[in-house]
Amino acid sequence: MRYVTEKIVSFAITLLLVSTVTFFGVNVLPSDPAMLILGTEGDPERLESLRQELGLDRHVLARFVRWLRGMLSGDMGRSIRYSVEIAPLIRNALPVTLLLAVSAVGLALLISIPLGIGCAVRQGSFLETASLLLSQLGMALPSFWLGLLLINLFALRLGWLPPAGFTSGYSLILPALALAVPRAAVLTRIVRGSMLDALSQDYIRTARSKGLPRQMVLYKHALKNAAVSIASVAGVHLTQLLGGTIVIEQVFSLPGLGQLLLAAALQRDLPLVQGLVVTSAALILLVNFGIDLVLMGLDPRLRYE
Amino acid sequence: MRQRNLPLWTGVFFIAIVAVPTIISLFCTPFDPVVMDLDVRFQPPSSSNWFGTDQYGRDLFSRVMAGGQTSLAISAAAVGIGMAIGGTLGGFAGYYGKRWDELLMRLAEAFLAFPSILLALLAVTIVGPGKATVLAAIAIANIPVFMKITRASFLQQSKFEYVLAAQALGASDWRIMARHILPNSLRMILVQASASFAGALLAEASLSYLGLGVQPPEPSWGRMLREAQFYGGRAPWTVAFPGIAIALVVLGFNLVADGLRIKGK
Repeated sequence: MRYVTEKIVSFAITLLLVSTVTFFGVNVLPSDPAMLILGTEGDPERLESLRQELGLDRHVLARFVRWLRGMLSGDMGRSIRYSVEIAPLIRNALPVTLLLAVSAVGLALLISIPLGIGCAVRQGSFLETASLLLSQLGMALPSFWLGLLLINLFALRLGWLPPAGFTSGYSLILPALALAVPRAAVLTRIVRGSMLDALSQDYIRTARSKGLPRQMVLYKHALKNAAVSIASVAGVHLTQLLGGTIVIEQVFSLPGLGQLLLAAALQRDLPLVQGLVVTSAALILLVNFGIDLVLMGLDPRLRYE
Repeated sequence: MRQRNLPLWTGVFFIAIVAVPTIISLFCTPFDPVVMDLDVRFQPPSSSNWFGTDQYGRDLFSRVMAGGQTSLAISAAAVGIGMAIGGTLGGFAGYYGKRWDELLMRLAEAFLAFPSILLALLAVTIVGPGKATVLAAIAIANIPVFMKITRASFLQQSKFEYVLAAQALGASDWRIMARHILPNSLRMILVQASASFAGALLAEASLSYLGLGVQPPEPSWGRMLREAQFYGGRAPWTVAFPGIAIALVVLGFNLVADGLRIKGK
């Protein structure tokens, strides 16, 4: 219980910190946000009306408080370029990014857990050497390049899957794969390492010597203990992906948070950028919290710290 | 007894495959990397155009050579800046400890939890796209990374007796940090620098691909892939070669990092 309260407090503080940095970053660093948005060629009348719309006649602190209040009640203000409410824009884009990030990490785990266990169990085998070499290669491939190659092969040449856009679940297969490969490469090494670690422990020897079946020792004793470090690394990848699907969304023209943020940043849609950055930060913090809970579920020792 | 460090030298070899032509491109390239010739668009790789030509008839080999200049320079500068600032802060935090340490490390942790691409996009919003923006964003993202690694190493080293001995001899804190602790921490910092370089290159390529970094006509690997995307079906070589260059350098630096780590044990 105390843990949960502590977490909620730190969640609120961090989010406030991110909001503050973001708000003042885009509102104070440039001397005139309206000028920043319109560029130097904006005519004086439009500049004036935009200043009105942004409420620039008021003090920056007053604007900050108003913005924070709005965020708390779910009102993120209006996008300047699209002239619509920001909250629904984000609500529509969020599921795409979320689904993509989760399926990419899921796919990475699906590849790396069997491979990593295989490597740990059969040390020095061909499988291990090949997996380690492949993982070295996988880590070096830029996701977006892999995406381009996948489009080329599976969409343009073979025509099995759609090359771009988001029409059905099939649209997510290639982007998820492109994101999953480099992550699977890292995770395979983590799985292998933590399995080797677990297998060298005394309790494994005990379990073996009391005659437990091999599979049981492997999956019940070793994997369960290795799972903590695997889950924490997978969690880090998931949080990184929540902000980091931008490039892949661009490659596959997926209408997710990343596309929205990229367009907003390039067009200097300041309210939209603020809303998106704070939303992403909140998501990341939430996922981190979720991972903490999962880790505590996996390792009872963590519950008493 | 000297043993060959296979990962280290393989890594150096891969880096050299790309870096040497890049350095040569500072002086000359087989063709001009930016001059267009629409008569020879989309030529497949041949004996005169080793990597073929792109949608404007520019020689792809020359462009890959020249594209390395910006990609490698930005990555090197960004890692250098991140290492200098992060290393200094981390060194102080690790050596002096206490309140400084607590505050700096909390900040670093908060920073690391935040995807660096969001930071880059925030920077683009404020100052607009360009090489300097990308460099700054990657450098800033690297500061907490080097802070953590230097702090951990300095903290560990400062407990050793040789530091106590130097203190007893009346050496100044500066001297102890620069002359005694730093040389012992250098390997860990270099391992991180090598890994960070690989990460920085990927980040630079991604940002250029998004159109946030180097602006045309100046070639850069990420930018070339962005342009090639639309012609990938027709001219797959335009997609292949810039990507291979990126992958080779990243692979190389990851291997060097592994190699340095092994040697350290």
